[in-house]
Amino acid sequence: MTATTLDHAHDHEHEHHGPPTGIKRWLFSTNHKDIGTMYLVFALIMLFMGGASAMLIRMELFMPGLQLLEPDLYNNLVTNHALLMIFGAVMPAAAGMANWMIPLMIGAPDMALPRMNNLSFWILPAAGTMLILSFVVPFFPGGGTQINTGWTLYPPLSIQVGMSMDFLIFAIHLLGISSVLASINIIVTIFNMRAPGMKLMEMPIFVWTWLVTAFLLILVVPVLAGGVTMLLFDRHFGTSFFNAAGGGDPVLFQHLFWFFGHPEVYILILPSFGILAAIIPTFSRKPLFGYSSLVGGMIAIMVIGMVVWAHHQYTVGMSLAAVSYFMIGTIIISIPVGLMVFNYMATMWKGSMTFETPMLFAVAILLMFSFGGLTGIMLAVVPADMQYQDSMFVVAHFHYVLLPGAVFGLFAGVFYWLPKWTGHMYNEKLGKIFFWINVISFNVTFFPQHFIGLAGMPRRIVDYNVMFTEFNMISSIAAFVFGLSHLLLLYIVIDTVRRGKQADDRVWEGAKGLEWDLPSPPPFHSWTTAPVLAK
Amino acid sequence: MTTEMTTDMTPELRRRNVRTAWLLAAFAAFLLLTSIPFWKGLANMIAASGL
Repeated sequence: MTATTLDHAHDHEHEHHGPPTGIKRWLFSTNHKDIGTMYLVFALIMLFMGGASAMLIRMELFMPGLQLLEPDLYNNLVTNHALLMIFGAVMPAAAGMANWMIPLMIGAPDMALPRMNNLSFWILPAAGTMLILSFVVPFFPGGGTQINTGWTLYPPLSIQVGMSMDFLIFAIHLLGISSVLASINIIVTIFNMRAPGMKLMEMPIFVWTWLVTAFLLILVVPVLAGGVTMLLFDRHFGTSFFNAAGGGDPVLFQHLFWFFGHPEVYILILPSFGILAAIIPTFSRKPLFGYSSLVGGMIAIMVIGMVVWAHHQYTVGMSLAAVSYFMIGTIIISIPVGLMVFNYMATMWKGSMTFETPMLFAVAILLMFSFGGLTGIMLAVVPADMQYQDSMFVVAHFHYVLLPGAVFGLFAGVFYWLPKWTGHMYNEKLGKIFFWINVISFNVTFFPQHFIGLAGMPRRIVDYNVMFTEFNMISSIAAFVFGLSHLLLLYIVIDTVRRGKQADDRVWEGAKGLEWDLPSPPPFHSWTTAPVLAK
Repeated sequence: MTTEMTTDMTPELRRRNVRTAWLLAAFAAFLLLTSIPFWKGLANMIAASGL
């Protein structure tokens, strides 16, 4: 779908007014591009903080025995790493891309509720501060014990942790409010602000993935909010929702948490799969294969993904009928996920493919994410999971799912759209160097963890048997390379903004869609007149 | 501070956006209040305390 861009002259008139200047431009911004940029910068900062905690974890695991960290601090860092990466880096980065691209792709002048968009973003730094405080508070006098629960916050341990848990619960409430507000805004924008004549089944798949993701967020985040509120009541107001001694049930929290936690995986992955749906046809120079089945597939993922949560709890003593149901449901979900992967492969089939950095990431994602999916099927099988659970095999599995499935997809999106956002082309050679270092070091970090997990090394424990030393050393060295490689990403982004060559409006030869009809960078106010769709 | 975007919207579209947003917010609130046994537990606690 392309558009006749009758409104460029009008856009340039708006441009003469220019954006507001100084700090006010950012503090009070209601512009989807500025807010998108702020989300992306926030996510990048959190990526480095979460990455620093991961590198500390790998430093400790470089050798057996206690090297640098006390056991509680180690578990605090494990918790810190997960929460910063999930809530601080990946979700805001995906929201940043949604802010930037959805209005451009559907021909809308901005998000439907621009002031609420501002609020959704500015809650995040407050939430991020509370999150970081929850890790730091225990180091001050009277700060209580550290959060050693992992991101799952299971009671009874989370009831016994010191006041840092209250900071974390407050942070989760704030993050949840931000996510729900952003989701409402995205859904309203997609439903009400599309260019005249653009039907739902004509929207770019990236927009579809965000529609599904936003609904998922609205469906599951309130349940997490309820769960942590009950936790707060158990901690301070004498209730016993999760306290067995008072007649409560700690497993109830696990159900509430994973009712959110499992769909969260799809919340992280789907936007990245939407980015692939933009990249793969562009660099294959072919239309996307199976549009309707992709839409159906992601709706199926949403529906099935919401009813298989307890596969994270096989070992808590559920009935045979319950675990059988959750096992079968979990395995069934591989069908729509596989369908999406096969659609992307079919798009590439016999295409005139070129391998610029975004496409390199896209191909790597399909290979590595599929591998993560296969180990996921191993873990879905109840008797096998009884052996694998809580081992490094699980760590390897979910990093193969989440890094390619979510993070690499976002990197691909950054390289794909950065020229459009900034008006400058990135250095392709540096981009490819970043890709190869990133992907090779990722695999060397996490592939050995499958073996040490299968051999019996547990996760979330600071020390390990000496027989696992060699593989842990390999894993740690590669992890340092992987972590440091992100400095190159930062350099590439800064270099692009400062010195990159002027980018064309249609940056990529095979790119199709409304966003490419706008100048690079798009004017401060874009699509002030709705585009006329040429079908 | 507002952008020109907010003023570019027709009042009818703005009303429609706000109405849809309230619907979705009510849906989220409904999920918060009903998808968990929060109120049931709270009621049990109040009953047990003899209030």
